[in-house]
Amino acid sequence: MATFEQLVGDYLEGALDVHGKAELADLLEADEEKRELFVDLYRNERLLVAKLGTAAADEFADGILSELHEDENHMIDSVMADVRRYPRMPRRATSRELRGPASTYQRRPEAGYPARVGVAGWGAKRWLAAAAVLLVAVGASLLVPLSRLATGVTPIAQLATTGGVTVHRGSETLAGKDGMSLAPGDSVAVAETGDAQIWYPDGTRLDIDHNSRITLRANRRPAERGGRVWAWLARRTRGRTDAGRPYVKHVDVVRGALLAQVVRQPADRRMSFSSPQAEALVLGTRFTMGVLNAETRIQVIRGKVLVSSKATGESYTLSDGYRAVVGERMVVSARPRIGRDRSGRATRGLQALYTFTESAGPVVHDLAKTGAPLDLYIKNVNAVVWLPDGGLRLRDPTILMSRGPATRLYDAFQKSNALSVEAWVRPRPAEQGGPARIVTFSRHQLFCNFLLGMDTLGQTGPVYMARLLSTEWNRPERCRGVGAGGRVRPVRTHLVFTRDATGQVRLYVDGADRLAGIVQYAGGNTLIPGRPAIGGTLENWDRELRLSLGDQPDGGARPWLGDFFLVAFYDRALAPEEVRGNFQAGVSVSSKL
Amino acid sequence: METGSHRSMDAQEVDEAIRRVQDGDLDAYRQVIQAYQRRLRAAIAGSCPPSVDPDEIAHMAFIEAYKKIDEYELGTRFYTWLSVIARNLLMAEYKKIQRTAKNRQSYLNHLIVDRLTEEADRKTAVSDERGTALTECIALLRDRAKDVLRMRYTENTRLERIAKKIGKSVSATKFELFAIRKRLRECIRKKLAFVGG
Repeated sequence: MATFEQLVGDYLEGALDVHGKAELADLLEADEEKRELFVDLYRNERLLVAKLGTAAADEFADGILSELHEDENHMIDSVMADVRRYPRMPRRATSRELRGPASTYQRRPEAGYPARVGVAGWGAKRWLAAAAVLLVAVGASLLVPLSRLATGVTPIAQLATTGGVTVHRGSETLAGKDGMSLAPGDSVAVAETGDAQIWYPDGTRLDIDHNSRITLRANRRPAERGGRVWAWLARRTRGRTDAGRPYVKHVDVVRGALLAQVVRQPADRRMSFSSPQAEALVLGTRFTMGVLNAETRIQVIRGKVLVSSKATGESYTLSDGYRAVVGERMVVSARPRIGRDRSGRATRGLQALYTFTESAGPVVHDLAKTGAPLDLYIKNVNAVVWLPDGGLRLRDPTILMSRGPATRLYDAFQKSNALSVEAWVRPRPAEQGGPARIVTFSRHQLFCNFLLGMDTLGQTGPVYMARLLSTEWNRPERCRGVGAGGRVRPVRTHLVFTRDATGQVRLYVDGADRLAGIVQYAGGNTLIPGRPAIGGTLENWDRELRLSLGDQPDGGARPWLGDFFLVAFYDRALAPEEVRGNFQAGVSVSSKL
Repeated sequence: METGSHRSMDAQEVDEAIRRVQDGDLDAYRQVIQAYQRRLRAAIAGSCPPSVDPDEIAHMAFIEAYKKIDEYELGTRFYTWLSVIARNLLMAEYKKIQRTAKNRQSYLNHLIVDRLTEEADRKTAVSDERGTALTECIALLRDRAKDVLRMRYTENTRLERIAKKIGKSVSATKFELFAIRKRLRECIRKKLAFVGG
């Protein structure tokens, strides 16, 4: 029999087996002092590892910053895509659009139709362009006062544009130019092909979407305006004189959409936005506001926004990840931080869908509503963590596996002779190989129907790859493999592997086809550049295999560690635009499939 | 203030960085992380249940803090606020482990988690007192003991190799390591008792 010291020592070294743990448990149960000693030694051991270990401080910070940057970019992209999706609507009565306070420049009656907002132009190039503009605009606004307009009115903001912008000033209609000063009452209209950013001297920025129109206001007398938001402002500023007091920024969103990034404002000069249906009051935040379909949609990305309905007077404070839809009545809904609930995801041919939103428990449910659900069971729940905002983290090797053979998937793929495997994942760490199994439909490591995973493939770092068995590659001991270009990064990534009935295969990473070559085995898996196909049929598949995530079904052979956010299977090859649509939809899924 | 390999930042500088974060400068958050990450990671390590990576909890705590950064009032203690978030995340982990079946194999995990929960219930934030005491106690060890700790924890040397280096059998090395751990434990207990009252 081992001594208490030996058992504890082995436990701390991670070398104690099941029997040893039971033996140690017996000793501890019988002696309170030993229990205290054991727990103290355990805690100190964790501290020793943390204190004396070579912790990589920069890497730790990099990981957090990378995740935050990634979330923010995904959030902005998905929110703007959401706003842009609403269809062209019939003409709306203009009287509501015209409702509003008197101002120096009375806006002309708006005769336009709320139009569908263009899709192009909100991508990376635009943000890079905006960043470039930022340098110019901020520099100009901080170092050089905005030039006075010919009318003698003090400008309040500056326009940054590459064209396609019209500025309505009183009865004048001017072509918007880059660097143009904007005054209270100026109405800025952005055409289908135009782009516009509006910069205030404090750095507050408005990105105006295509086919949108907004009007700038600068109010010194909030009480003159109606509505609860302005009543609140009036209370905050009661008894103060206007003389010398800075203006309060206000924007009327007439149609279309904007992304606002508001620098923190003084509490008594909160920036406000209004639309025909709603008013929004912000202190310092980032949010989008869109006026389409006789509704105003407000999505808060960061910070808080007080939203009031003009029709009902209802008001809510929205925080991160919340949105309000204000039409005849206000609807406030919580939504995931990433994605959207009006799903732009492809649904035709969907065979199985896992969104990892269970938050607890050992089962990941199939939500596809196609035949009998093919639920997945987590083998070791202690090896996983349900993430607070949705998702499942595999922090230790384990496997998620169907209870029985995935015959429904097998039958569907046999019938169509085509398939798509989709996954939103985040590898942790990025350096995994084997290939590490993200999704697999296999018996053991040498036989698979298909798999999606990552491996080094002779490259400088791991890349995403897929394997597929077909009659053309009739070697059941090893599937035909293809690999993607570009290194795996430890960030949320969208993967789709498709194979159509003619044998054409594609491997998409974040919406783009990154198929780079075929995998050949020569003492190790190696990626041979090219544009391969995997022809033939899927008749040589094994019908009796289970569906597995995170490892081989025989367990422990090729584990993958990281976060799952979504996995889906289709019985057809998704078209490139459908893959892009799924990518833009993010990880959330409409409840109406 | 803890900074790891980075230049020390005082509270004002950290608050200034936080203010910039609140104004939308995400990259300023790096300074905040660098200012507190080592201290927080160590504090979490001393209260972390088995099979949970302290760095994961610290990572999630910084993410949570960022999401709620507008709720933080400048001039109050950011680290305290951050450690409350970390404590809540740890409590969630404890509950998860406690929910699992209490069989013989998980008895050790339950024992550890029960004790950690008892302590966490008495506190509102993760504490780095134990970590501070450990650092002081290591400094009081003899050089040979320090060498063994360095080989085991800093250089991650296997026991067999340590045994060879210090000229002892593996079994004797295990006992020596255990004796060092016990000495540290007694020292830490005394220091914590002194801090406590």
